[in-house]
Amino acid sequence: MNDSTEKYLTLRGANNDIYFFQKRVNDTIAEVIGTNFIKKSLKTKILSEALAKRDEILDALANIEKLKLTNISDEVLNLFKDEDLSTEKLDQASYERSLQRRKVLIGLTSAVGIAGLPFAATPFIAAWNPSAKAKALGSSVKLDVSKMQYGQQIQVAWRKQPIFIIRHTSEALDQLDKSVPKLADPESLSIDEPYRGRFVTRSLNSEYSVLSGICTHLGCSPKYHPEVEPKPWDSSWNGGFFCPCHGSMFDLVGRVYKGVPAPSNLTVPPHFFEGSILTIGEERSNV
Amino acid sequence: MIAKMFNWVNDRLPIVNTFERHLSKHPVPKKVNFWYLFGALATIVLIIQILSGIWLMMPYSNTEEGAFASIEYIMRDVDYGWVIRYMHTTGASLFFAIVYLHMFRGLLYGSYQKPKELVWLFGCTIYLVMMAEGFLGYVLPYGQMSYWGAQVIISLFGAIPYIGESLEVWIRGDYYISGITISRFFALHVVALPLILIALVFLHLVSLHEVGAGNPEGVDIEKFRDEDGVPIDSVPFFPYKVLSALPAMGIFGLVFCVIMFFFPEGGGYFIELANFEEANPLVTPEHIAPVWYYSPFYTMLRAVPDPLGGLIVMAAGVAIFFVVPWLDRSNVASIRYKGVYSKLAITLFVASFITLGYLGTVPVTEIGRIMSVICTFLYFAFFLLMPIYTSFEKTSKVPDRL
Amino acid sequence: MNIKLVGRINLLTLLIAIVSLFIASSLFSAEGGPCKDYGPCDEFQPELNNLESLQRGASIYLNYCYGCHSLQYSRWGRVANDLEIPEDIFIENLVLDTGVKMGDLMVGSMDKELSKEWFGVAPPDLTLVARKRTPEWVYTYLRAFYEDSSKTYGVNNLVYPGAAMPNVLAELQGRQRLTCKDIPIFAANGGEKRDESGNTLTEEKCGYLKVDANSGSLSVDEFDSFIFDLTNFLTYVGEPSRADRERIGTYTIFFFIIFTVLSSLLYREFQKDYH
Repeated sequence: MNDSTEKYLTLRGANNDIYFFQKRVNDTIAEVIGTNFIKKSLKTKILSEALAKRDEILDALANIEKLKLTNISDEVLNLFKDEDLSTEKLDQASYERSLQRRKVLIGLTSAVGIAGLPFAATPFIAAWNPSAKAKALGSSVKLDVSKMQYGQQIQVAWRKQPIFIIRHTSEALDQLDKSVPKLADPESLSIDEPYRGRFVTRSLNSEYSVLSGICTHLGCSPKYHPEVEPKPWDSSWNGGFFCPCHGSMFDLVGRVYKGVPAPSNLTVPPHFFEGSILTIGEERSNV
Repeated sequence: MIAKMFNWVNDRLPIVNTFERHLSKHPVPKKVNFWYLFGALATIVLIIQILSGIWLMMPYSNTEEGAFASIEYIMRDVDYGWVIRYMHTTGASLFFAIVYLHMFRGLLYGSYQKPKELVWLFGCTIYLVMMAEGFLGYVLPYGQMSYWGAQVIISLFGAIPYIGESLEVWIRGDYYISGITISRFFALHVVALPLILIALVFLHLVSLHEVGAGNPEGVDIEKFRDEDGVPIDSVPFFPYKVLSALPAMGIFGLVFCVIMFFFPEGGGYFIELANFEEANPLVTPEHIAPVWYYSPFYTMLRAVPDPLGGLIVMAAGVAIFFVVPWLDRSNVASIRYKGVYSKLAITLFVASFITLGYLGTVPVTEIGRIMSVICTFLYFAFFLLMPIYTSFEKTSKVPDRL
Repeated sequence: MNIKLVGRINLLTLLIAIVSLFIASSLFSAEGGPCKDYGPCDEFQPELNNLESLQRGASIYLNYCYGCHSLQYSRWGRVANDLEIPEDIFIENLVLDTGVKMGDLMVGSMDKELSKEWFGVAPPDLTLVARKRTPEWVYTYLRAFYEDSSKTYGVNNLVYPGAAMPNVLAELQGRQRLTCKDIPIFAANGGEKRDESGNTLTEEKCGYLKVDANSGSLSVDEFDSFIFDLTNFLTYVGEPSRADRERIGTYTIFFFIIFTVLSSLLYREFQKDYH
C-alpha cells in the first residue's frame, strides 16, 4: 500500500467523522455548529484542511457541553469522547511513527511467512525421491561370471538399466592400445572414474569389464561388435561398441571415439568381485 | 519495458480491473467479528486439499489388492509421505469443521437474506458436493471402515423403490465394493468433484462480490456513501481484510499442525481405528460409525425405523438448508436484533445438531434412540417453524450505520 | 453497547448449551471398553525415543512372534536404521533368514494356507495392530492370558476371549490363572461399608489374574517390562515416523505462534485506519 492510499484513507476517515456528525447531530446542535460549514467541509480533499475543520467542530461541541444544552443526547457525547482519541491518532508525529512501525511489521511478517515456505515445500519435493520400495528394487544384483566364455558379452539389468559385462580375451586386451589414437579420452580424465588406475578393463578385475550400457549421448544402448574387421562405420574397426541411434563408437572397455556425438566414456557402475561372484550396485570398502 | 508488456497483456486481459474490482477497491464492511473469517479459511483448506490430494494420487494404487498397501507405502516408504497423507486427512476434517462454522455464521447473521439468496444457494451446493467428495475419499484406503461405511451408504440407494437394487449394483459395478468400485470412486474423487467444487466456489465468490459482504449488525452499508460512491462504513478488501485474515490463518495453522503432528487420528474421529485393517467383505467391524462430519445425518437415518423413510429424512435434513432464504420472514437479518424466539430456536438447533452428531458416533442405546428422535424433531422444527416465529416475534431497531 | 451485550449473551448461551450437552451425553454412553472382560485397559505410554527398549522389543518380536506374525508393510533396513542397530549385528542376530535383503518387506516365513490349517485362522499380520487396537490394548492383551483347559491351546484371554493363539510367553510369565478374592463393598457414597463392630464388609469377586509364584522364568515386574518393550516396538512399527512427526510438529507450532503474533500486531496497526 502506498502513501497516497494511506492519506486518502485518513482523509476519508476525517470526512466520514464529519459526515457522521451531520447524520446524527440533532437540529439544535446543527444550528450551533452551522450546517452549511459541515456540508462544505465534506468536499475538502486536503488533509490539513479536513483536520482543521474537524477541530472547529470539536470546539463547537465543547461549547455546547458548557452551555449544557438539555437536548444533547448521550450518544453524541460518547461520540465526542471517541473523537478525542482519533484526533490524537491523526497527530502528524504519531502518524509518522505509525508508518515506520508498519514498515517494520510488514517486513517481519513477510520474512517469517516466506521463511516458512521452503519448509512447507519440503515434503512435496522429497516425496518425489525414490521411495524405500524403489531403493529396495534398485539395490544390488549378484551373478556368477565364471561360466562366461572369453570374448563373450552379457547384459544384466540393474535398476532396470542395462549393464554390460565383458570377459575379454588376453589378445583383445593387448590390442587395446592400438585404438588409443582414435579415442577422445583414453585415460577417462573428463569423468569421475571410480576405479582409476587398477586394470585396463576399468573394473576391479583384470579380465572382466563392467560398464553401464547407456550411451552418454542421449541414452540409447550401444551394441557389442567384438570382431576386428572393417565395418560400415569404421574401416579399421578394432572391436568395441557401436550405438545404432546416432553412431557413437566406443572401444572394448567403453572408451569413446573422437568425433562422435557421445561426449564421454561409458561409466563404470559400483561393483565388487568375491571370487567369480560379481555384485553390481554396491561398494565393498575392504577391496 | 515491463510496464509496456504489462499494458499489452492488460489491454487483452482485465488484470487491473479485476484486481480493483475484487481486491483493492472491493468495499467490505469495516466492522465484522471472527465469524466472518471462516470463508477465507475454507479457501485455504481447499487449496491444501487440492495440493496434498495431487501428491497422494501419485503413489496411491486404485486397485483392490493394492489400495490398502499403497496407503501404508505412502506412510512408510515415500519420503515425507506421512506428512502429505496426514495433511489430507486433517484437512478433510477441518474443512468440514470450518464449513459448519461458516454455515452457522450464515444462520446467525442472516447471510442468506435478500439479496444474498444466490450466494447461500451456491454455498449449500458446495456443502452437498463436499459431502460426496468426503465420502468417496474415505472409501479409497479400502480399510474396514472404508468398506463397511461405503456398504451402508450404497445400501441407502437400495431403499429407493423399484430401481434400488439395480442402482446399488450399478454404482458398485460389481456385486460387492471391489477394485472396480474403488477406481470409479477414485476418478470422481480426484477429477470430477474437485472440478465442480472449484467452479462452485468461484460462483459463490463472484455472486458474493456482486451483492456485497454482510456484517454482524445486519446493517446495509450501501445506504451511506462518500462523494466517490464508496460506502463510508467500508474498507477496501486489500490490504485491510487480507490483513485481518492473516492472524486467523496463523491460529488455524497452529490448530492444523497440533492435530496433524500430535493427534492425526483425532481420537478415532478423524481417522477411524478400524480403518487400520484392510477391508474384509466377510467380517463386519464390531462398531460402525461414520466420520464425525456425517454423524448428525447418520443419526437422523437411524432415528427412523424404515430405511426409505430414514433416507428421506436424511436427505431432507440436508436439502432444507436450500430453502432457508424463503423461510426467514424477519425484517432484520442479524440475530442481535431478532426476537427471543429466534434466539431460542437457534440455540436449540445447535444443541440438537451437536447431540445428533454425538449420537451417530456411539452404538445405539434405548435412551439414545429416543434422544435422536427428539433431536431430529428439534432440528426440523428450527426450519419449518421459522416462517412463524420470525414473522410474529418483536425485533429491535437496526442502527443506520456500523 | 447494549447491542454488543446481547450478542455476547447469545454466544454464551450457545457455549453453555454445547458443553452441558457433551457432559449429559457422555453420561449415558457407558459401553464395554476395548479390553472386554479385563475391564479398563492398563495404561501404556510409549517411549519411542528409548532406543534400548525398542531394540529389546524388536529382538523379542523377532524371536517369539515373527515365526507366525509377519510385519508385511515394514522393511528390515528401516527397522535396523531407525533403531540404530548396525547392519551386520542386525543380520546376524535378528534376521534369522539368510535369504533376505535389507530392503525387503518383513513378510514372514510362514505359509498362510498351512497355518490356517494349524490354527483355524491364519495368524494376522501385526504391522498395524497397535494402531488398530491401540498400544494400551496390546500391552494389556499380552499380559492377560490365563490357563483354561476348555480351550484348544489350554489358554484363554481376558482381553480377547476365545483367542485362537497359544501363549508362547507362558514359560517366561509362568502359570497365570483366574482367581477370586475378597474385596470391600463400597456404599453408594463411595465409602467402604462396615458392619456394626466396624469391620469392613467384603464380598467375593472372581475374574482376577494371578500368576503362580516362581512358575515362570521372569518375575511379574520383569515380565511387565518385557511386554512393555514388545509393545513399544509394535507401537513403533505401527507408525515408524511417529517420533519424527512429533519432533517436526514442535517446530511448526513454534513457527505459527510467531507468525500469529506478528500478523496480529500488523493487523492492529492497520486497524487504526478505520477504527
